[in-house]
Amino acid sequence: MERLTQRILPASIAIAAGILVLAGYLLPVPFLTAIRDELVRWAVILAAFAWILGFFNLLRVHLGQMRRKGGLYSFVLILSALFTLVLTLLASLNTPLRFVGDWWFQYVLSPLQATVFGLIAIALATAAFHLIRNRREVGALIFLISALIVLIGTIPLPAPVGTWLAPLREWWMSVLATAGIRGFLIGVGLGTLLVGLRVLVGLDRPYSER
Amino acid sequence: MIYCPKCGAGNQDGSRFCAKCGTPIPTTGIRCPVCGTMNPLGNVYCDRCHTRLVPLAISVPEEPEEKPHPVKGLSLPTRPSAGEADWLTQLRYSEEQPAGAEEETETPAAEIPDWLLQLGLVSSSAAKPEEAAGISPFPTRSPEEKFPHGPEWRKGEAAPESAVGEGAPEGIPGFPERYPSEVPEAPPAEQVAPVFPPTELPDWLAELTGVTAPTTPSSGPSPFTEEPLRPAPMEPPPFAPEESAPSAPGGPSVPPVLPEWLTEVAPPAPSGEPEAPSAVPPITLDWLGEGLAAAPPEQIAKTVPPLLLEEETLPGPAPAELPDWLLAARERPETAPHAAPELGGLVPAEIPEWLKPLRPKEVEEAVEEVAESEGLLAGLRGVLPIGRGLDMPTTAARIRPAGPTPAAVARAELLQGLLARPLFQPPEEKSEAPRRAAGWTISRLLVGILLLGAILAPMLVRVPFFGPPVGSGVDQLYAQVEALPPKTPVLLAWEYGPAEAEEMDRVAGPIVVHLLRRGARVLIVSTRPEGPATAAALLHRWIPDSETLMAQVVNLGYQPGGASGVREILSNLGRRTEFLTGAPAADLEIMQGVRSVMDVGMVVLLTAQPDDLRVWVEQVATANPNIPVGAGISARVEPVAGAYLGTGQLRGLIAGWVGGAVYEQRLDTGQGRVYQYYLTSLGLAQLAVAALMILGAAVFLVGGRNK
Repeated sequence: MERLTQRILPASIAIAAGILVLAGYLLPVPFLTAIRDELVRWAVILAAFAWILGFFNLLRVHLGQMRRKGGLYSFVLILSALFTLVLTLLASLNTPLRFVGDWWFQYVLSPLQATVFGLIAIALATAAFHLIRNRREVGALIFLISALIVLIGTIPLPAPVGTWLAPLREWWMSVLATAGIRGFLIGVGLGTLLVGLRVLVGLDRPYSER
Repeated sequence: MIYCPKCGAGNQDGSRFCAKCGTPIPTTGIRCPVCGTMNPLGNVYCDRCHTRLVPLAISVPEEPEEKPHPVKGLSLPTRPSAGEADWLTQLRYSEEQPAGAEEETETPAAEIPDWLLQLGLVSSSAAKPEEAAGISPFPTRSPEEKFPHGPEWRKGEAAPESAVGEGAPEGIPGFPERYPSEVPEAPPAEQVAPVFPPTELPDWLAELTGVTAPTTPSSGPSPFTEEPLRPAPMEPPPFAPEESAPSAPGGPSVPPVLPEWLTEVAPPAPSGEPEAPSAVPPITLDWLGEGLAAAPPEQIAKTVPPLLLEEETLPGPAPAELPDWLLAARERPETAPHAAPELGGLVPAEIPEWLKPLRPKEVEEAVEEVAESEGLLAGLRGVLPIGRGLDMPTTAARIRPAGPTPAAVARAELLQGLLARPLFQPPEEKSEAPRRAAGWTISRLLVGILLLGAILAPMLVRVPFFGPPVGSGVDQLYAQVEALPPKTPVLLAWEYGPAEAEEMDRVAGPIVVHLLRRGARVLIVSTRPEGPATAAALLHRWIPDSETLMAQVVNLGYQPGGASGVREILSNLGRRTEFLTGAPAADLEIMQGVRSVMDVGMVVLLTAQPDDLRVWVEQVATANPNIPVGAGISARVEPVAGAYLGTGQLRGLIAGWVGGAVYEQRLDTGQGRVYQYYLTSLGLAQLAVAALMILGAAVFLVGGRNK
């Protein structure tokens, strides 16, 4: 019974759903298309429900961490999450408190996220400064040269530097960078196909613990 | 070493005064039989080794300083006189020895004068306590018992011995019967030989003993019928006989040999015939106690020689010369012959200090006389109280465990420290980590300062050397928007949030304004939760007061599900609801005729994530190649977008602030100066970062890399 409920039944459902959706895309049959659209709609609903589960899981984890070292941060996180939840619920009701929700998003969340994101620039610049220190090899040297060309080539420098540096950057981006990105995208596509096939045949069961 | 009785300081043997406190130290003490230390008289235990000096059977007087009774009888002076004989000196020293040592230093019989032996003055068993108690250590045996298997001649040797007296110790000829109570009456003269012939006795002694002069042989019974040299009771001098030699008038005569001292102290021999024995009753050795008291002084002066009279005045043995326990033993038979040892006589101070805490304490419980106040027994006293503990809880008292010892605490701390220490910690990491952390901190500070300077510099000075921006794909996107007919539905995929809004707003703003200017109906959707709010904020900033333009925009909100959400959006645009009001999209005029992506004229992707761009391009451009797709992206997504731009999946592209600035120049939204400021700051920051990279490469290439 355990084998049936934990292995056979989930694998059967996953394989059947995958095959039906794939068939709905491949075969122009209205029945299969309807089933495909309905299954995709179910996936969207389940994804939305996953946000709710994630929210309560966040609360549970940080409630447990409040008793440990650094519990103050968990307390602030829980307090902020609950406050934002209440504001969003009130805003969805189209009440006068909607203004508070908008103000909270525009003047609290947006600056905080922008600040954290801006720190990435400092981290990247520091890493670039220590590039040769940590990796003295050909790859690092190529990376350094490429970064310098893109960085400086983006700047609208006046002639004569800007006249030959901008085309160089353009070539670098359209040829070398695009080649690399395409190779990356092809790898991603092949990987996605392979993972899909493994799930369809039951080799990978991300929906099951076994 | 002898210890001061007052302060306890140790002094050399023979010291008369304490070297510390000056207290006189008794010269005579008790020598410890174990360690040989001289202890003051009165000590029950040795000051050095705590060996008990006084037998338990002998009670110790509470007042050790009590003046002892003077030794009477034949007590000899303890201080050696000038004319004292050597053998007497030895006897005196042997007397000073304790009981235990006395037996070892027993005077050999060969050194004792014969006359003294005959008198019975020397006896090895004179001071035995068991003898004082009436128990003879020498059982009286008949010659037959002594030599049951011996020859006849041997049995005959016992005859002189028996003549001396039955019960005499073996080996000591002439030892008399020792106990007065057992001494029979004087035997007949023909049966008992005299101890020494009367001719050898001085007159004074003859008078005392009643022995007749040799010139007048006695034929009758001698008046000296009692024990002539009987010592005073309860005076057991070690060398003196406890009983006098039995008088044996008419016994065999002994060659008259007197020691010199006795000859000297003796009065001159009478020239004439000795005086006849007077009618004065014979005086025994008890005469010092009884005879003198009964006789008149004239008679005493007449009959007692000066020597013996002076003996009373002679300095007898000092009280300190006899141990207290011996003095107590002397008096014990008179007071309590069979009393139990008075252990209570031990003064508390004689108990060692370490033993005092162990003594049982007497707990006196106050007995309350309870007077009943109620009930039938009201007013009665002495009623048995209720037993204690009956109303007490039955739970046992909690025993508090003893705290750990310091040694245990130290071991526990050591073990805890060992357990807290990591099993393996490379020494390189210890020295490298702080230095590396410090290096990274300095680098970050330097980078931060440079970037901050790059941002603030355009506000202070004008940077003239930056030219007009150049962006690829901007012209294509601008042409696509210009080609849209009025009121064409355009789907905007708003795939960025507040974190990327500072950059993406400069990209999305010109595109939205251009679409609105072209009269397009803008449909905003997002697969990110913060997407719709970000879009509303941008519209609020870029189109604040234009109700006409805002009527062309509808925010269809957030669609969860990732790639599936994109599919859901593309398939069911007409089923969505408005984000701000919650109204169904199908009821809005702007949504008229729009049910899916197939009904829109263009799709514009506004994203800062490469994956979002990929998903949207794959879902829209691949499945609907006839629908033009443009993109306004972040600068970091430009390499990915460039791949789609070359294949035609993207019809136009704006990347970053540079692309936005170029688009704004084409569109002329009136925010050219803001874009110029942004571009100047961006240029300076990029130059600073490039300089840092070059500097870092130069430094570490020249300086070498850390191991």
